[in-house]
Amino acid sequence: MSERTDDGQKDGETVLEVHDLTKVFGSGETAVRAVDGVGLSVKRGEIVLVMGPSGSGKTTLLTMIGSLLKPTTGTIRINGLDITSLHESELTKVRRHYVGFVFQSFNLLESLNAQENVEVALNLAGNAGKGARNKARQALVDLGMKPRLKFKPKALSGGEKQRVSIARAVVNDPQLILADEPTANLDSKQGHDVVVLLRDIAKKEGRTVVIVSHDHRIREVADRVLWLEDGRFKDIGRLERDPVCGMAIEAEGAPTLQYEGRTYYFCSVGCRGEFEEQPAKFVAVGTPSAAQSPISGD
Amino acid sequence: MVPLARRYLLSDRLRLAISAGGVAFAVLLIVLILALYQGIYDRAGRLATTPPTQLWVTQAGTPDPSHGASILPESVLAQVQAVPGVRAVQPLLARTMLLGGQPNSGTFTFVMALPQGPLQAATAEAFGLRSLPGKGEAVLSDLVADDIGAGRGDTIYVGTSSFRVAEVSSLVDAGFSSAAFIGSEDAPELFGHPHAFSFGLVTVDEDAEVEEVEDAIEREVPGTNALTREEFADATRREVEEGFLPVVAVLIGVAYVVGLAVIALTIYTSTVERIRDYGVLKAVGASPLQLFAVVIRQSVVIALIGYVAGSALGYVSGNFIQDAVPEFATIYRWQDLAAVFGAALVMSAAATLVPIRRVAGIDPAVVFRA
Repeated sequence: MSERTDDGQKDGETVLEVHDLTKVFGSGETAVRAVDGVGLSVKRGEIVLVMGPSGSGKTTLLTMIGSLLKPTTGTIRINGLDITSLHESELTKVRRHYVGFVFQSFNLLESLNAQENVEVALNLAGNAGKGARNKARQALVDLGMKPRLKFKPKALSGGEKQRVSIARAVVNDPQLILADEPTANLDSKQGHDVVVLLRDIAKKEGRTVVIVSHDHRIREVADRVLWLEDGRFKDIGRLERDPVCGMAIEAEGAPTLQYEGRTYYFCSVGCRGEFEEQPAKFVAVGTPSAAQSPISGD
Repeated sequence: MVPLARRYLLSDRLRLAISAGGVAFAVLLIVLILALYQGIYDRAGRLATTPPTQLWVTQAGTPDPSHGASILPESVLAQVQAVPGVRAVQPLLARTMLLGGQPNSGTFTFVMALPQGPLQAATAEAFGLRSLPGKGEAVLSDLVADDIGAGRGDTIYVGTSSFRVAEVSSLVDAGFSSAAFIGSEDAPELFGHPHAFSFGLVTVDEDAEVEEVEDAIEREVPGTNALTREEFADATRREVEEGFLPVVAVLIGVAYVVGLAVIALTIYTSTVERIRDYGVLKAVGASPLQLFAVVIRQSVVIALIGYVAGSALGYVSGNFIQDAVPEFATIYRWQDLAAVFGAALVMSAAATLVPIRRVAGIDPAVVFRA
């Protein structure tokens, strides 16, 4: 596979530009290049899905784009603003107004109710009082959370928590939404709902959404799917889905197993071993076999 | 604004109660120790400030009745009276002796006698005596009466000499926890210096400057010290300062450290438990100052609750102690309460130093770890 830079769509305003981005952890012989010369350009209203094996640098990339981690080299521009040259105090403003985060584990504050979890983001951005309360409330109502406004996170389902997380991400009206495995902790129905929400955020509200995920369902709404491996974007090959963990994986080089005349692909020998022990368990639950339902690359 | 600090505190009410209770206990100790110290300090000066006198004349080198017996020959009275500006001199005989229900027993008591003099009646009235004790009679302060279990009409002993208790009086606390008056005829023999007195109580002419008369007495009457009421009070209080203040300082220091440790541990553990929350807040746009404010607010609230509860408990328990142990006196001064309030705020700020460093070092990328 060859290294490449993804230039995005041809039309529309560019919201995110990443150029030659590298992140090296450690030094000398123990240095690890988590992200290695990545380039990326994403337009307004576009949904980009970044996939790749565990440890490929997906989250590191997202963290740098979200101004939570300084890159070793390279530049990141959000709405034309080079955030890699900013001081920490200025990055705080970037996080408030330019970027919204949606996390895998929701990261809601357990001491606050749903509405307050959204309101606190407004407070941090300088909005307080009744105006902030109303805005937080409306953001949640828009996501169908009206009956749960005063519920603490522990009383919410996973899907509801992720709605609150999404409301918090968009309430300060950032142009760029970064989502890290937004459906990983959700069941099928809740995951689907979240995918739909992210699609609406991009398509109806015109925000740019960058999603890091293993979840193949997100491919349905993504405008582009990028494959990150060893810290670099690579041409996406044929993707298959691991019947054990559901992770999208590149067929080439993946551990495989023949079962009942079909070839199954796994993200690791661990998943293959688990499949070997009880293959019927993973086939019988309705998981389409790789042969029947290949997940092909773009 | 979402009251994040308050929510964090209220999310664990037991911890809040324990931490505020710890601070309250420290504040209680500090307030109580200060009140007791002020009570003792104030009482120590009462002997000097109770009589209607402007100057006290003592034997040179014994300006403090706690540290030495002042003995002045009777001839000094006339010499002092002759000093320009002196209007009147009243002798007072006094000595610390054992007073009890049996000979050579009981409690050390400041025993006084008021011989005939120009200020005798006024001084007796100032001390709250209804009448001067006659020969063989004694007036006990209620503290010493309680202490030795004596009442009016009982026989008590000063050293080996017996007296009948003619009256039990507060003696306006008399500057000492245990005080008594005996008849002036008995005092010379009892104190062992028949033609002497202990202190001269001096009033000055209206047109005279007290300080000038004070200097003149020391200059013209060799072997004496003249002190204003305030100077004599300070001299008697010096005993309290020298004897108690170091102990008080240590106790207050220990109490303060206890309070500081309680609040610091509470805030630190709370911060560590919520380190991910702080990371989330940082990721969604909180500045370091905003995060510090959340930590500091929690600390300040704990300190304020502790201060209010501790001060109130200190006041209540101080009064209780005073009722139970009359030898103790408590005085609550607004200056002390204000100082403790300030110290509590400093305590709350100091308690956040380590947690704030922890918060400042949070890697916001922690929020991406599942």
